[in-house]
Amino acid sequence: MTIGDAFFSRLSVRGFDRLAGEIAAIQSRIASGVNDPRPSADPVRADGLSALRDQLARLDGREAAVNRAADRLALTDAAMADMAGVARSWQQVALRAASATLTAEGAAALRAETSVLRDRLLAAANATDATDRPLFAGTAPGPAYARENGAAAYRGNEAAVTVQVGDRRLLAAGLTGPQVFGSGDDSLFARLDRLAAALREPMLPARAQASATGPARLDIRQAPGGGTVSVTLAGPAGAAPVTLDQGAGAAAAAVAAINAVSADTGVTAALTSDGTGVALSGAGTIGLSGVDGGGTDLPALVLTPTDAGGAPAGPAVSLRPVRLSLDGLVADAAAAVERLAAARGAAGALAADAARETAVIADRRLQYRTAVEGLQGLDIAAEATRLQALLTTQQAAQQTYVRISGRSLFDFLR
Amino acid sequence: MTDMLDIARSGLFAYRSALAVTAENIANVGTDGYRRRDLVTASAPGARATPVTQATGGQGTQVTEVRRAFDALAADRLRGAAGMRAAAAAQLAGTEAVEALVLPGENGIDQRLRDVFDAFDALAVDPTRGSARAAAAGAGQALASALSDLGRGMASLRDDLAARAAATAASAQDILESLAEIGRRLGGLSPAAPAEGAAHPLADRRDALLDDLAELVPVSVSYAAGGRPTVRYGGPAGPVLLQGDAAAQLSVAAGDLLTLTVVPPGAAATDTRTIARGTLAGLSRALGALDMAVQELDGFARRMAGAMNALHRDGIDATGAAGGDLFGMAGWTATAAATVTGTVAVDVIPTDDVPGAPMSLTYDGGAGEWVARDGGGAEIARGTGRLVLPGVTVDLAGAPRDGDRIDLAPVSGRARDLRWMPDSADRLAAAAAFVVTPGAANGGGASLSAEPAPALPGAWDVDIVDAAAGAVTLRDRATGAVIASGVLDAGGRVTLAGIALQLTGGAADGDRFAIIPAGAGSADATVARALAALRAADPATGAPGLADRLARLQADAGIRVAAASRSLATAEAGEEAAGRALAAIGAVDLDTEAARLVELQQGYQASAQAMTVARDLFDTLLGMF
Repeated sequence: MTIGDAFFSRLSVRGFDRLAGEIAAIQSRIASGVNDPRPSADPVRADGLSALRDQLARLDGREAAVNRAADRLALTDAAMADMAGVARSWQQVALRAASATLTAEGAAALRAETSVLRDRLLAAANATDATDRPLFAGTAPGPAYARENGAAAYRGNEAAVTVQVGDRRLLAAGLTGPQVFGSGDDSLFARLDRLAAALREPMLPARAQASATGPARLDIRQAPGGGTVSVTLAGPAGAAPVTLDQGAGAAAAAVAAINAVSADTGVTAALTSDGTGVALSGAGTIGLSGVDGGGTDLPALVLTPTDAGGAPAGPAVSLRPVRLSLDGLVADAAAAVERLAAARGAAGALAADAARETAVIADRRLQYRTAVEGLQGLDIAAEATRLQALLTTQQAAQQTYVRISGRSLFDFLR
Repeated sequence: MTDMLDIARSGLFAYRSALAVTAENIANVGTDGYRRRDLVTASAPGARATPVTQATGGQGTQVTEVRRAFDALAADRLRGAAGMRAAAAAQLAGTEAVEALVLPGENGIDQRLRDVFDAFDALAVDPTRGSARAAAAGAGQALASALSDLGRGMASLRDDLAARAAATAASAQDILESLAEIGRRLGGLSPAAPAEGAAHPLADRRDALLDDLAELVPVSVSYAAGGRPTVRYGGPAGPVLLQGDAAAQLSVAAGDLLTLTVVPPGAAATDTRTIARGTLAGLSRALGALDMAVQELDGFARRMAGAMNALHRDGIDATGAAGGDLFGMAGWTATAAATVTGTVAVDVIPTDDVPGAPMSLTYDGGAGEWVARDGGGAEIARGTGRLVLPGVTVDLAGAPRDGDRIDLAPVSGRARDLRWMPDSADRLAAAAAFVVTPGAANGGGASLSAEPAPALPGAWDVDIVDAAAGAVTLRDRATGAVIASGVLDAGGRVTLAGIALQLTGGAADGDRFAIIPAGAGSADATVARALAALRAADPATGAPGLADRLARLQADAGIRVAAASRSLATAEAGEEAAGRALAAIGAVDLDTEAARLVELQQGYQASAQAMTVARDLFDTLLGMF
């Protein structure tokens, strides 16, 4: 069957076009170094590539998040290292303050040192990260702590700053103020404030306990806002806890409270002649100890030995709260060291977690990149082989076409 | 003796004619549509005996026909195959254009989406950082523009395809007119013309035009006497496109589907949306593929905007204000009334994301102004080049005529209308309105989620009073006062004072959760994280993420191209086979023609030799006298 010269030429040209197209496509792929990215060229490969690109982008985002967390945790650790130094100094101050030989000058020096320590602790608590975000304020803006009536007040919140490191996994990028410094009376600032108060007049000479071998006068400091103070009253019959009111008419209320436990203590109370104090009497020694409450700036209770007529018979002794006792101050310092060590350990654990995530991300990135290369990267050897085969085919096709179409029966007609 | 001369002369004449036909074949070896000719000869009958003459055996040869090598069935098959190929080629070109618009890669729409999620990831890491906010806002703006541009690009491509369809119909119309002319000329030839070969050039031209027509629209051809074609659309029962020398009128409209309107000569118009072959069929399929891609893109844009807006509205921005929508999709359609006689170009620019009410623009030729009216007919505005209307600005150009009307209708949900809504980076809501934190002393491992009513200010504590019974109380965090109490249902849910609480995990008696409002400058990144998480599949439900959905859209475009490419390869193979069959019948082969030339030349020379012999014999006879 003959198909005619024109149709033969048309088919041949179409074949040449097809070969040239394939050769051009291979040349283009070799020049770019990647496979044809069009989904139409290989929908499955394109879909896989798209998914891998997304995974890599997500890894980039997570790596940035982990790095950010690691940076914050490193700065947290640095801030806490400074705090640990503060705590060690604090412990030394507390031990020196607990010395029975502490002079007024020595107390003044310790007080100044305590003030410095408090400033250092507050500065460390308000440390910020590389972007000037507070490290210990949770998610709240602004400094974590501010001075309020002389005390450090937490201005942050309890929501930890977190970063996403997995589909369902958040990594804390730091600790909140309460986690590091505690809160309320147990906070490091409250503990340090107690040390400062204990080293300051009029709390400095106050004692944790006081006693009189005979009658005594008890003065209760009235607090502007009222309040109560608990104390253990010991007498010849034994000891009993008593809660004393610090509001107006405190003395009268104290008389009633003390007389209410007279059976247990053997101590009776009456208003002093001036009506502002409590006259204690009993058949033996009268002692006060275990004061709780009443503030840390001023002693709430003062015990003065008197004679039978109520005149002072010895030096007045101010009572300091138990928490301001020398043992309490040393315990506070030890607790601060312990708390900071624990918090630093927690931050370190988070940092280790971040480091693990970084390693995991690096491993995954390598896997994804390998997969991307597998899908996107061109197999140069295979393409070159294919190109050579196509070029050979093209050459053969062109030569055969020239041979076939370039000669006909007319060439042999004479 | 004269008999012999006559016979030799008839041979000479026949072979000379045959040689001319062969020469014509050779001359037209490259002519498109040419079918080879063959000369058909027959021996001339001899004379009977008469009283004065003897009977003769034969009187040489005579030319009976110049036959054109044509097979209507094979030609019809080739036209069908060529129509399939043309349809596949047009479809492939259209789908490739769609694929090019959504091509994935560094400059593709998928990269813009990745940029947004990367920016949200960065925002989640540091939601208070101005640069992170600016980057997220920039990426969001770029994504909205890219999706909008893509939607507009698809609309523009649709216009191009519709214009190509109209041009294709116009080309088919021209071919029909040319065929009508050829039909006229074929009809004017004498009945003997085909045998004489005079009609063959017209037949070649006719067949070439029919081939061209079949590449544009599906046709069925039958031939009347004299070779005049009757062309019908589609099959033998389709509407007449050409009968005798009368051609139908063709036009197309690209509405929801491509519609071809045929007005046969002397008959009513017929609309058809079933276009089986030809370029018009390919364009129709390409339009279908494009409309599908537009639907997918609009669906993706709606899903993306809906999901992101819902999350963003629950958050608070850098100033502490509630987050608004991230993306707006309100748009307008401008439709020219059927009565428009002028030429008007309309560009509609939405200025508000609140759906508006329909309006109309009418050109007042006397005043030379466009008049905008609301749905009730009340005049809203008037002007020449630009009209600023409620929710939309309309730019008008062209040469309108008095009374021309354009209807404006609000529409929503199209990717081309997608807009980035926050007017500043500070308006990005990265933080949740409230942060729920478990108490440090909690004994259980439960977590609590809460959706406080926006109108309820303050901060609260939720106490687990009785974990076994699910009893909880809501307290004012500042005063400790109990606001409300309730019991968790089986799913751990309860609503107290308008706050929907959801407890997950095991709680212990006395556990406490703080619900803290996040104010301006909050470093909480709950919303930013949730926005970034839309990239991937929902771990809870397994629903695909936005990145996967966009990848599917792109893959679908590629798959449609691959399918069209396979169809084209198949159609090309079919066309080649049909072409071979037709070429075997009527194509000119130079080897064949050369052999034929030698054969005819020898016949011609032999006839001439016979004439020489006859002359010699005659001379011999004369020499006897």
